[in-house]
Amino acid sequence: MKAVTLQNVHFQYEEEGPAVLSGVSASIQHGEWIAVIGPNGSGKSTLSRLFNGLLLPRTGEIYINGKSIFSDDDLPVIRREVGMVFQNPDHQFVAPTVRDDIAFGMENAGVPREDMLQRIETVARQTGVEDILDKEPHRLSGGQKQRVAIAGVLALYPSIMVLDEATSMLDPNGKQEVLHTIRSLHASSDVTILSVTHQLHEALMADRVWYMENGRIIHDVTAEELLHNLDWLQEKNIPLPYAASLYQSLAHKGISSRSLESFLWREKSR
Amino acid sequence: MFEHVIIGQYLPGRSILHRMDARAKLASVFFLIAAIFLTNSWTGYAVLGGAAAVIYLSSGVPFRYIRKGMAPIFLLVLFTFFIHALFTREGDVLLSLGAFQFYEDGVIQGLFIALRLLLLVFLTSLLTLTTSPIELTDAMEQFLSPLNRFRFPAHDVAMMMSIAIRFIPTLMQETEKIIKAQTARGADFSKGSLKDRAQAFVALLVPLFVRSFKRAEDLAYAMEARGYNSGAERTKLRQLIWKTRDTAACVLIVVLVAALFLLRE
Ligand SMILES: Nc1ncnc2c1ncn2[C@@H]1O[C@H](COP(=O)(O)OP(=O)(O)O)[C@@H](O)[C@H]1O
Ligand SMILES: [Mg+2]
Repeated sequence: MKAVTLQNVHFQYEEEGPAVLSGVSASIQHGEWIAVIGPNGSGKSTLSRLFNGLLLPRTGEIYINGKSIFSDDDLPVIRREVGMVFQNPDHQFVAPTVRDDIAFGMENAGVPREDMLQRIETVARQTGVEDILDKEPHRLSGGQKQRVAIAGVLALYPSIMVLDEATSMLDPNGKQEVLHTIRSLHASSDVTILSVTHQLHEALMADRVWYMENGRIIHDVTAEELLHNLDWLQEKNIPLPYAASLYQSLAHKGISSRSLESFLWREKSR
Repeated sequence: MFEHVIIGQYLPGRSILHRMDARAKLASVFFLIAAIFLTNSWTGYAVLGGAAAVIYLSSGVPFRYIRKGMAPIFLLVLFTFFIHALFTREGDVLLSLGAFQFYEDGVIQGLFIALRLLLLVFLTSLLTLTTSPIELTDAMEQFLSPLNRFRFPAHDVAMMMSIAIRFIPTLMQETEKIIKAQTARGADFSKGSLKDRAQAFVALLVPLFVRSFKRAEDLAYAMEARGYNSGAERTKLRQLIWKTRDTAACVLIVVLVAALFLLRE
């Protein structure tokens, strides 16, 4: 049995609206780490929200650990089995302190208090937030908040974890912290991971990479295959790191780094 | 500007009042407020004042925090006193100032009303100074939960309150960021005509609102993804623990209120 099976999934937000996903078929093995890359608006976030029924496909089927996403009886179980971490660290912190926030999902699932206390200890150690359990969200860094979000998800013993650009709003240190947490999770447990990212180097940490365009998975390759096809990456305009892409777009406009530099100096001395 | 925000006016501490169950404190304040409005004799107010002083002494809160809490209503107290003193024309004339005459009953009435307001704010300040907002919401949720039977969503209301409390500092930090960003673009929030300032304010409020709506949408997704289901039974990490001293305190308060009721004239 696969962890996730997508069969010819179609999705659009509005009845008459444009197709956002048009015929996505793919599957994920247990314990696999999939990275999803692709241009803005290609449907990555939409796809990730289908994994736990936050959105339901218009047509097609999705099975999570063999259970259909359309089954009303299974949906609460699926919600517990699929944990989600979103992009903005501040928009997913619900409770007044770290400890309460980690407990939020467990409270919803009706976990007894004794178990909660024990699980909080465990997941806090796993994500390295054991020293900040009593802190309030506005006293935490972005990286800490994202690790708290991961801890809150892990406390529900998920079998699948979906991270939608979970590192994109963090500073370099925060990114490192969160990536380290995901990597050690992947190494030490059999949680299946799906992470949406704009960073090529993050995608290359995964086992397999899906490249999406216009609501379809165009390429489904191992990280290794991706590395050996850098030409193809170039051709597909896969977002390069920010500095490099700025350089590139300036170059497209015929502005060399040298002329930009002398222009800026001139402006400054005016 | 906002780095040391204290939510509400909670002042963490280890006093007897701090360690009491929030439900006991909430119920006591409720009873005492009822007593404040029932009392109509000097003896009654003396007893209430004494009780308030004892409660204050058990809170360990420095007086300046209370003073700060009471300052905003001071004008209101003066205003209501004079309204009553001037317009209740019964009893002997105590003092005549031109067109204004102060009658005995009016002055007494005014003093009573002023005392009521002061005691009310004094007690509620003590409650919020010694009880964290989270505990207060939990206590309120429990008091409101019998209303669930009448389809009153006690839990959702408590969740709304606690989310609102949790986001106050975030909103403040964001306000600070937007002020800085708009100042960098030349907006000035402290100088200029009323019109200029109003305009600068719009430039602050619009992004604040837009971002809040986006946040509300994201937060709803995140809560749903973590299995939040309004109306469903949930367990709780936070516990309110009722001790013997909470029972004792409540009994004392009830006896006090009963005594005050007997002192009515
Ligand atoms: N809530 C929504 N309502 C309507 N259209 C949406 C909504 N969210 C996203 N879309 C549209 O769906 C398409 C895919 O968006 P999204 O899945 O967010 O892409 P990505 O995450 O790859 O940038 C975009 O064209 C976007 O405008
Ligand atoms: Mg997205």
